[in-house]
Amino acid sequence: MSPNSWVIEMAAHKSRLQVRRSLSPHPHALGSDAFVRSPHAPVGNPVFEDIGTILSVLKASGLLPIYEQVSSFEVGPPTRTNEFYSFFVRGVVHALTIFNIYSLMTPNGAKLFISLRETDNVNQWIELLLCILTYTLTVFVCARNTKCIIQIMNEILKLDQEVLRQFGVALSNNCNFSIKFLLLIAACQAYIIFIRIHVLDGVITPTTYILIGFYAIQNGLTATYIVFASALLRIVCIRFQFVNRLLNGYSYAQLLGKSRRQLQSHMESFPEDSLFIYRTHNRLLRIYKSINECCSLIIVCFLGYSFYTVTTNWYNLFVQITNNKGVISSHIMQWCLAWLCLHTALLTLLSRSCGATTNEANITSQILARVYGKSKEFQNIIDKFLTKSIKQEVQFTAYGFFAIDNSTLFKIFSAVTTYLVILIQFKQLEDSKLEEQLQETN
Amino acid sequence: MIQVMNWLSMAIGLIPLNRQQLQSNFMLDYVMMLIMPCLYLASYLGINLFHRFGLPFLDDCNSVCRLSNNLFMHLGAFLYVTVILLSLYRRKQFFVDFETRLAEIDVIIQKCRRVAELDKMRSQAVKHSVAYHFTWLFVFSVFIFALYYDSRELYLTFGEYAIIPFMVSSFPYLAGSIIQGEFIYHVSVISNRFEQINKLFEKINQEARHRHAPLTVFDIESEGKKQELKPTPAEKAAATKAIFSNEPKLADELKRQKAQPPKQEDEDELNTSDEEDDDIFDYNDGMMGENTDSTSEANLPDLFKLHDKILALSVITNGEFGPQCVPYMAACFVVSIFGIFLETKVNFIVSGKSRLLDYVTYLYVIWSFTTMVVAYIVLRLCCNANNHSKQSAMIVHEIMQKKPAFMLSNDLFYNKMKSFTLQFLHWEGYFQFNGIGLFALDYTFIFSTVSAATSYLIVLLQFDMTSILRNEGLMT
Amino acid sequence: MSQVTPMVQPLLLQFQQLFFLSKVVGVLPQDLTKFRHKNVLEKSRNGMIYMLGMLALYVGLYNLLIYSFSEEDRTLKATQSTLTFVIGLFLTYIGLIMMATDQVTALFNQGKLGELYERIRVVDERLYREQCLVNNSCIAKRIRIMLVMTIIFELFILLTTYIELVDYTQWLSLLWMVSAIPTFINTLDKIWFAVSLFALKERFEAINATLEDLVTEHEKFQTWLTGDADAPEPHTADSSETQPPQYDSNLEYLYKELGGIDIGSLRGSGGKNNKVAPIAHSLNSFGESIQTPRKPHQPNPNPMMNMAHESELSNATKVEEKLNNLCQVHDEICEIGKAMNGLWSYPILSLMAYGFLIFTAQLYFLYCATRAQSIPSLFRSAKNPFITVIVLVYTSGKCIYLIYLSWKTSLASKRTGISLHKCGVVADDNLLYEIVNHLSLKLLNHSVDFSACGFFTLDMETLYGVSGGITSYLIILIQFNLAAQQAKDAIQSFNSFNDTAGLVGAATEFGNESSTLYDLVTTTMMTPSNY
Repeated sequence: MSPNSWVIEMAAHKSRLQVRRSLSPHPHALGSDAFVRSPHAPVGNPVFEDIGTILSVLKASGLLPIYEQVSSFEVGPPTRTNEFYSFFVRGVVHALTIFNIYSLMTPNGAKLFISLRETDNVNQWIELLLCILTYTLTVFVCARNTKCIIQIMNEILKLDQEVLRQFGVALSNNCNFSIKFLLLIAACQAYIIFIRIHVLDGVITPTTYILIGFYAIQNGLTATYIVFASALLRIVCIRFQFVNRLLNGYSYAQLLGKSRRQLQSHMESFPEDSLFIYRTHNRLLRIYKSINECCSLIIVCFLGYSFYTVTTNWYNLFVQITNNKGVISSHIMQWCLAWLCLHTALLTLLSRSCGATTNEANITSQILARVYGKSKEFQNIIDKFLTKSIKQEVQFTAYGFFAIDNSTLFKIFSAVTTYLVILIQFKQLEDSKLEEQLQETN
Repeated sequence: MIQVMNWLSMAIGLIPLNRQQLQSNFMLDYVMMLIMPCLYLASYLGINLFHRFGLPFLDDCNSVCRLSNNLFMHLGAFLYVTVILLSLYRRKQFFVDFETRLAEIDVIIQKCRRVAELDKMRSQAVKHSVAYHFTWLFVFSVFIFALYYDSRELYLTFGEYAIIPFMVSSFPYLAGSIIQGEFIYHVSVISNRFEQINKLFEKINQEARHRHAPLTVFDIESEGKKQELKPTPAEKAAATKAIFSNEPKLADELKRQKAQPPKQEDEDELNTSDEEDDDIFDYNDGMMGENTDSTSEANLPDLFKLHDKILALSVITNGEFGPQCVPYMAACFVVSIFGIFLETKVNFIVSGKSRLLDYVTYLYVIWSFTTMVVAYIVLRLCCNANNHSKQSAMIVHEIMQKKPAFMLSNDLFYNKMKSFTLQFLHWEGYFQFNGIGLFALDYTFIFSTVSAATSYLIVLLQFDMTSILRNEGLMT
Repeated sequence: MSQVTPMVQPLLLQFQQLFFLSKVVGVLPQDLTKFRHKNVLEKSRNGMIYMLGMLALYVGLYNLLIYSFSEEDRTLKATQSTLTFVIGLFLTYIGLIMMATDQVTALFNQGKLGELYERIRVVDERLYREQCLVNNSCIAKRIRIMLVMTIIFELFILLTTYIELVDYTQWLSLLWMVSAIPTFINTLDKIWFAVSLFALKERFEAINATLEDLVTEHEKFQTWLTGDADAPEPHTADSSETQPPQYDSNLEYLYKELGGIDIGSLRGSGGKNNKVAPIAHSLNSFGESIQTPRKPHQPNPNPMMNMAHESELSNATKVEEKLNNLCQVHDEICEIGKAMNGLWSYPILSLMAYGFLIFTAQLYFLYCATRAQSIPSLFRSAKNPFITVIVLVYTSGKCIYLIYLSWKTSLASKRTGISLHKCGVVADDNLLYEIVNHLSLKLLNHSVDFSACGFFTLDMETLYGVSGGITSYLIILIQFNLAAQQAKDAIQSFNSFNDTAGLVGAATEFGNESSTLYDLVTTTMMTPSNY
């Protein structure tokens, strides 16, 4: 099991890989971008350069440790000063939070609410508090999980190193979406700030600015953390994909139309590869689980917050549209749309990346079932893995409450619809009451 | 008890007469099935088209009463029509099929028991426990009370024409319940077979425990232990005295000789299922030749096959009765919800004011209770059968983990057991008692219905009834 | 597959009429002449243009329809509660969206669809080589039945609504005919899916039947064996304990070869060498519709068979070969199922959304109509209960049939493992047990689950949940309506200072309302269980 045995095998593996690539009927299926990369990444390159921007944002805000890069395949714990910096930032954040809650209580904060009626104000209050709660929780959990995150990164890097040594393939991370999302978040938040300040009338004190600004930062950073979690999941997903692709080379569909000799030589390397695949798969599962442990509390909180925001915003939008007075406030519409856009995009991203990773992890055994082993030895190898994976459904759970995948999105939106319907009912009752009162006064 | 139920269901035409013989008088059997539906349809259409003899058309029937009675009647019609159509669709083939398969299974079980020497211990038919009788008594009394109440009230109202409203009020629910009773009977039969198999498996398991011994002393040890297992103390003493004596073995031999003739007859009867008998014979005799004596693990292949067959039987049964479960459960759900609704919103407030209203309310309550009891029994039995079949797999796993001597000595047994457990995995994914896939018939169904009922009740209880009641003159 | 001579009839042969129809109305863009001659679906630029044109035409016509009927809706917003109006507004375009989804997806998938049927054909060939025949003839019948049903339903709904509920004195009312287009096109597209799914299910069942056949024949053989050689058997030694089964399976093959001829009509052609008689036989008994293009008879030089010949002709290996191939074919069918699900995932999602919304809305509008409230003009069919029932049956029938088929298909695929184990148990041979265990582990990992974009799986439990959802939404909607009406009444009564009259009105209203309410509840309960 020592990695040394793999080093010796390396040359052979490489040559085999060449042969396989030339033989395979669908070269593009084997490795579109995973194999295109140059085999030896330059040493000086920072690790995870794809998500570098997002990492630096999170590092600066103290959510992630500012780790030291030991080599191109290892990261070390942060230095004292950096650790102290993170500590300091977190302290500032908590102080600001307390200050914000205090200033919300004062009449100064009440100006913030673009008030339509009683229930809406309550809604906004709850939304604000939820946001504060989510962000505070994020900061706490991140502070606690510093070591865990570094460990996960190291595991991933080690895996990459092994893959590079074995197959001469540097796995890319394909996480360009993170930058797009970062921009989206920034744009949405800036827009919301702008609308807020625009709508406010009267004298605006610096406290209000701080309040609004910090609120936006809280939102933005929570969202950024979610994007980071999705990026991590994507990275794991790509590793799983690599394993599956490797395994797929042995499935019988690839073997059709080959002569027997070719078949034999092809299958020869299967035992070794399968060993590697099983080990990698297990390690990936471990990584996946630890990511889940790290992030799940934050994700639950975010899902709750996001669910609430989406519901209230849809509700506001509905109220605006069906407003009988014919006065549609364009500010509120834009505001609602920005929120909806942001949260829907984040929810979609999260559920899709969770779903994709879960799917890739579970599909490995299905692909293995397609490997055609004629001899007893192969069959035993296959059986061992398949027996292990019976009923072992991998899932990304939200703190054990429910599994997150594509169906979560569906469930959230159906729940939103239900609540929307109920809220609208309340609103109608309120309306009719209001009218009655009006008539009585008349 | 089962007989009574069968007669009843034949009488109201839910199962064909002479259901066991395929070639009996075809016309007679099916015409018998059509009498009651025709009678029912005549009353139903009569009431709805001619507007006579129905509760809603009486003068002192107020709007609440009329509404609830209409609901009860139409729901009953829906239930009865679906049930009858499905029963007609089922025909005799199912019963004949079921019985023959059951007979096959029983023959094999008997043989296995003989091999496992369980039949000496409990050769009689299974004694029913007190709970069983109590349940039957309870269900019967509930039904009789429901029917008595309904018919008495109707007789007081309509006199000698009471049969017509009775046909549309209580009868459909009775028919539906009886069909569920048939389902219960079939499932209980299946569950019983599973239990018997489990007993046999358990026996093997115990023996494996006793014989968990090194291979070298396999022969002697097993011989001794096996005789220890025998129930009579005299034999046990004999065994301890002379472990190597051939006497008990001879007795076994003799017993086997005696057992053989009836089995030959069985083979003649059932041509399809005896190849495994043959296998087992080879195997047993081989063992005997080698002086290891036949023990109950020789049953394993038979038991596996049995398990498979019983599961196949349950698939058929579920396919026949599952669709009928769906309307029944739906009717039960609706009746229960409206029963609670009427009881809380109407009867608590204005009971005793109007006799008809009270009658309708009580009818709802009584039938919701009755149907719920029947539905609960169905769910319970299905759940039991599922659990029993699962238990077999558990026991086999246990045996495999103990690594008994017969398994170590022979690769075949290991593979067999592995094959069985794998097959059970497939079965688990494939089959569970269900109502055409809409819901699984086990305790989770209760949970889901109760939660759904709660939310509907919350909605229903919000209706403000006081103005209506006041309007009907029931409240001041 | 370099082989040119077709051994099996392609599945698409059965789709002639359906393809022609869908080509004409613009559901599929593929080439018509190629389909006629070669039975393949190929990309076609002209077809694409034609289809886009049709789509644009339909969209234009539909918008015209909405515009021309929207005048009636002007009053609706003023008089009615906002709820009805909003629901109407929301659902106006859903039919069009559904149709557009179907057509655009068909455009995108035009290449892949052909590949899919090619894969099915390859599977058929492999199945045929394993002597497991699939009867395609009933598929054509099914297509015809479905088409006829669709046309009957569509025409009925259209004509009755037109005659009963549309003011046909106006010339513009002819535009009402357009309202049937989206559902009709959607149904055509779904018939493709349903029939292909049914074909997959048949293939699964054929595999299961082959395995079961193996079992029954082995059983027959064993009874025959015991009848012959009962006496000498019992005295075999322990060393040959596993021997008899092997001997059995040895003979089993002989027996099968022999039996293959007289049961040949059922199982198709027999083994590899003695071809001619069984082929002719099966040709006769099957009639020309199923297996016509089968020429008598090339020795098929496929790699699998070659390998079997090269390896030992001992029977465990032969069975292994066969079981292995069946398992692989099973996997391939599962893959095809997944691919098919992928092709149709958005149309199915839109159909399910459409079904759910329309079912709820139609019932709600029916309620509104019985309360003499005005409803959106596009949903005027809700004014007549009988037409409503037909519409509901048609819509729910589409959805439920698809769900039911997917459920049945995945059940059939799960059944294979059980049948495989039966083979192992009946042969009772150590080697075979090992093979069976291995393959069964593989089968456990073949999964064919149909889902709509991964949002929800298409099985009956979803249906159960959906029927519950429809009921609760309906109740909520009706309560809204009730509350709004009561509020209105209360205001009116307040205005007229006549309390008693208002209360009487509210009370009588309630009686009628709740009777419709329970009608709705029963219909929602009934419909899923009937179809």
